[in-house]
Amino acid sequence: MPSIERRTFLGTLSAGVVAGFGGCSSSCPDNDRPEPTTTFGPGEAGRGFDSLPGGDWPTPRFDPANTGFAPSRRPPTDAPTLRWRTTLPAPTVDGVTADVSPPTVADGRVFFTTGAGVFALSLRDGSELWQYGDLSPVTPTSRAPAYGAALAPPVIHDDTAYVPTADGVTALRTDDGTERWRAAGVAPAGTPAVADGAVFVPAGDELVALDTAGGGRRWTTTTSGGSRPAVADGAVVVAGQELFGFDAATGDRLWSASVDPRSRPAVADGTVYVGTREGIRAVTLDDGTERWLVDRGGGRAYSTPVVTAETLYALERPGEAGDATFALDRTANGAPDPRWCSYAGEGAVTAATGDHAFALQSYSDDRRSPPRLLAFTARFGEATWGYRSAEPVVPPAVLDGGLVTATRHGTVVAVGGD
Amino acid sequence: MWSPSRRPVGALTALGGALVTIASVPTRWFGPVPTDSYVFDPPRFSALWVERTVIPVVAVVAVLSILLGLLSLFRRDREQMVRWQRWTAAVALVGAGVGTLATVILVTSGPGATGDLSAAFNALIGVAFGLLALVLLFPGLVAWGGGYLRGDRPFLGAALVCGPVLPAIVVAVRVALDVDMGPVGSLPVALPVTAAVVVLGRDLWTRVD
Repeated sequence: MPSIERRTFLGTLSAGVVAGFGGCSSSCPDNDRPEPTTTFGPGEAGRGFDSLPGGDWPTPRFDPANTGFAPSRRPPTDAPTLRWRTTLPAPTVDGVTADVSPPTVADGRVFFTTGAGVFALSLRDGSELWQYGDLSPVTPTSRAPAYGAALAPPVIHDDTAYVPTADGVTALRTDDGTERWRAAGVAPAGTPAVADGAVFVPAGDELVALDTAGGGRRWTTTTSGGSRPAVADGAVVVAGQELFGFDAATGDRLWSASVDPRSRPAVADGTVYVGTREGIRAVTLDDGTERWLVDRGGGRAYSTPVVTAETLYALERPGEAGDATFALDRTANGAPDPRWCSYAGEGAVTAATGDHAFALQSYSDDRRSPPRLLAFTARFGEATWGYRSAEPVVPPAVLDGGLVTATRHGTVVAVGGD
Repeated sequence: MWSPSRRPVGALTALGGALVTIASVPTRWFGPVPTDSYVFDPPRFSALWVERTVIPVVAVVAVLSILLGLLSLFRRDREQMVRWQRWTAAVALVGAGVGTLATVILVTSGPGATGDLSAAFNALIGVAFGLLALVLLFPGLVAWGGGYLRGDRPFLGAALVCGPVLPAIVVAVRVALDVDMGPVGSLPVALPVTAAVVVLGRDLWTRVD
């Protein structure tokens, strides 16, 4: 029956085109790049902060739970100015998207890792306080391979900087950079998390817990790969080929969930948030059972969840179209509803306060220095300001009255308000 | 067959003309509009809410009113029309019908059409119908109005001719001179249409037979 075959063929072809097209495009109706109200570049840097910004940013995602949410922070939002700028020695490191790690901040010091070692800068004016050069940095690979790898920064806890290196974990004093201890029997594959008196180190197909006091091994457990773990409420969550929950005290496996993670996990209020190929998924921290899935169409992976008290930010990554940043309303029960989305190119919200979210943009256009770091309002996604740079920047550290970031070749900038 | 009284239809048509202008008012005149992101559920009575909720209804009512007015005019005057004018009026009516359908499709597709594949296809069909409507409406109305201009109804004829011609001139000038009409949006295009439709409504109101 030729006519039926033709019809079948055309139907199959149409379905294929529809499915293929649907899987490649973004589900965000926004088509234009955000144009911030105010932009500023690296040209005019001041002499530093008159009043030191408050608060710490001890890990690349603020806390051991990877939320990226710094509550009660008042970062510069309306009239940002460049307070200081300095350039770190950042030799090229193979296989990474940036030759400098994201910053961490504690007690008026800013910490970075580059191919030349660990650096501590003064938060007030960017002057170098100390350098520790005797190490090879770790380059954790993203679960979304197209987005490359980044250098692992020092993680700060109780006046100690825990630095993952190619041949172990090194604990340094934050005041002078001298070594407290070095654990050589572990091969870190990502940024560790520090909580409950332990350093949780992702190490290939293992998760290792070291004692913060002397670096002694507490326990080792088997995972299926995975980068930075999330620690909350006595549990450690690792996103490898599967999602695992472990007892932080003993390393016993509490649960596993076959969700094909595409991002590191974030934990808030007893719920684990993780980006997957199907959408943004939430499972309970207690037993790993699924709470909900935000599925905005097949073929759109999600990553980098940032979780605030009212908002879940996540990046939608369609197969062939540009990325879109989504802000979703967190609700007491059920899946969150989208509040706004913005076409951000290869960008993502990496940090947030109650009222603002800070997103990276790594796209290139005809402008020499497009906005690379954007401040969005949480409510309507309005871009209040943008930091222009010829190079992409790393995820910022958000402070009370200030913000620190760096370009991928090592120029560190500090932003303050009026 | 029941046919509505032409006086109320005339009033409704004139109202449709006014609604064309209301539907064309730039959204930012109603208040601040977020431009850096797409807001999914804007607050009630905000400018975005007006754009997403009120304006589509206004637009559909406007095009339905205009279609009803043109139908009523055709029914009233078809006995007096010469053959070619009757045919061009029929073409214009088909164009108005297709245009109404296009408006309904585009309005129901909504601004989120890019995120939903079926909505995107609907929007594409709406745009295609809209272009077809323009192709039918433009010569149809001009010729239909030309018939009135040659007769004893120059005012109505001028309205039917200028209704499509003036907006086309505005668009052509805008493109040729690269004029930025951002602050006033599509009002310069909508106002001649409104004036023409109000004249049509007034004619239906005053000339019942």
